Amino acid sequence: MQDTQDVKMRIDTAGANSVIVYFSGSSTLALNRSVMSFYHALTARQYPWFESAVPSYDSVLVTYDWLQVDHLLVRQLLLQLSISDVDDNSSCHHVMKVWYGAKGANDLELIAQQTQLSEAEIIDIHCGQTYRVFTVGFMPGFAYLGETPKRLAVPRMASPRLKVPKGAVAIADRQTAIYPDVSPGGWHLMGLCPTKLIDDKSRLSLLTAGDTVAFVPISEEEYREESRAHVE
Amino acid sequence: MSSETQIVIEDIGFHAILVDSGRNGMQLHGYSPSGPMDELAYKAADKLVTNSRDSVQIEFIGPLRFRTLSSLWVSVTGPDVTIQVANQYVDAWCQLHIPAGSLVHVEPATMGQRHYIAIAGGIACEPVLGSATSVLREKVGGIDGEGTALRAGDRLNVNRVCYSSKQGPCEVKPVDYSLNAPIHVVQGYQASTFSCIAKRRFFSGRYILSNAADRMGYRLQGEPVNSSLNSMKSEGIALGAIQCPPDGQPIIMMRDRQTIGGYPKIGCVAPYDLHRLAQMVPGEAVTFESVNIETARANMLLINAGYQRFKNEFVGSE
Repeated sequence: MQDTQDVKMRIDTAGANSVIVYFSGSSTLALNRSVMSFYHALTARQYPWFESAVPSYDSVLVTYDWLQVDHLLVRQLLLQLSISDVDDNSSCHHVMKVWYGAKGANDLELIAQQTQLSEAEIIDIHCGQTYRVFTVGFMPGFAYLGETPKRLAVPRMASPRLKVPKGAVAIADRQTAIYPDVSPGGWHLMGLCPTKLIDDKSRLSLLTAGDTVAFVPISEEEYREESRAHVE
Repeated sequence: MSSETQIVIEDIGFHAILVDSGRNGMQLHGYSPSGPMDELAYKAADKLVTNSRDSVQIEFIGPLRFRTLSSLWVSVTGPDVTIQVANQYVDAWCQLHIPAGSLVHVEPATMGQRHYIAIAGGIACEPVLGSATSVLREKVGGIDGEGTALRAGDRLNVNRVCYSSKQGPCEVKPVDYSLNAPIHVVQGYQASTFSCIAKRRFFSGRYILSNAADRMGYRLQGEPVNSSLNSMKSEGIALGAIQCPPDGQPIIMMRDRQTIGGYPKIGCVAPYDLHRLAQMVPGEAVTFESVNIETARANMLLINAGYQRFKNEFVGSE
């Protein structure tokens, strides 16, 4: 793949039995693709010493059984890991419905003040592109989506909320996300999404790294209908 | 394996949850690996009742009282503790036979420390995402599958087992929890962004465990330690990672930590010292020593050989 050409990999010690693999380069998207390709190649290889791998934006933390191997052997094997250039076929595209300006999840005015955009423009821009899931963390089902356009960038709030509502759609810096459940949170809120981000039965996250997401505006009525449907 | 209610929780002093070896492989969905805070005590408890390595146990803080409905083989591990079975004193760190209808009272010597109760056969609890460990924040594990802690009145089932008292050790050498020796740390992550002075402060300083200490992380108070980094991308957090947020007060990331985070880290506590850290109570002090990764591994191998040698000597040939 052309955009992986300038991606460089380096491995640092994290702790006694963990190393962290960093990817660097000019394209955030290319870095994250490399992260996920590496992660899938490593987990598929099923090394007997392998304990866990945690991928994030531009890194993969690898924890190993240090009774079996030392960090030098692990580093060597990770550097030599053969990574396929083929995109992971299991990634999904999700269209997430958002009731923008929902009561209790509305910082649109605050965002407008900081970006010099109107509330309507903010919503248009947010819906106007497809986002990649860079990583999932912070809490189960919390997917970090990016990158939002520079003109939509706002920092985290000076005083985080103690309770962000479940389903709140939020932005911070060049990222956007949906809170899977009530939680403390410092991101600016734009609206509410009725879709469950954690599957009731499997408890798995709806969104996983490598997936793509697009947002579409819905009315309050449609939001309430969708919410009721999910409960039943 | 059939099971029937075999113990009833009568009273919990502070907090009690079900734990097993942990929920590995679910970090991709944002679930922490979790597991027992004092892994040495947890593993020893299992060995003593000859359970498999993964049994469900009770991890608790504060006194605990429970009643047995049938006779059971049980072990209690952790720091200094007093155990009474039907008003008779019995020992921790050994195999106990508890008759049916007995009231068991476990009273830790120091409030705030964690203890483990393992029952032969293991406590029966449906796993969620591969583990029965309760993580309330993530709404997984425990009896209700939603991470709820144990409460007085809860009835726990125990898996039936054909049990021979001749299997396994009857006693295990109790673990040393003293905080006199410094906690070993292997430098890593953003260690290179901490100045020599910052590192000297951290590795010569005395840090007190604050009240903000729970299964997610232990916040320490002492000489501030700061990295030169202003911000960084979130990345995977290893167990025992030492985060240094802007206020310079280190936080040691424990079992229920968030899977990823964006504060600079100076390295991680060596796994073989985690149990001592885990059993600290607010107000206690600790110091840290930097060891290189090869030394840490050599230490681990020596400790491991020590435990293996002890087990073979005591049990005799298989």
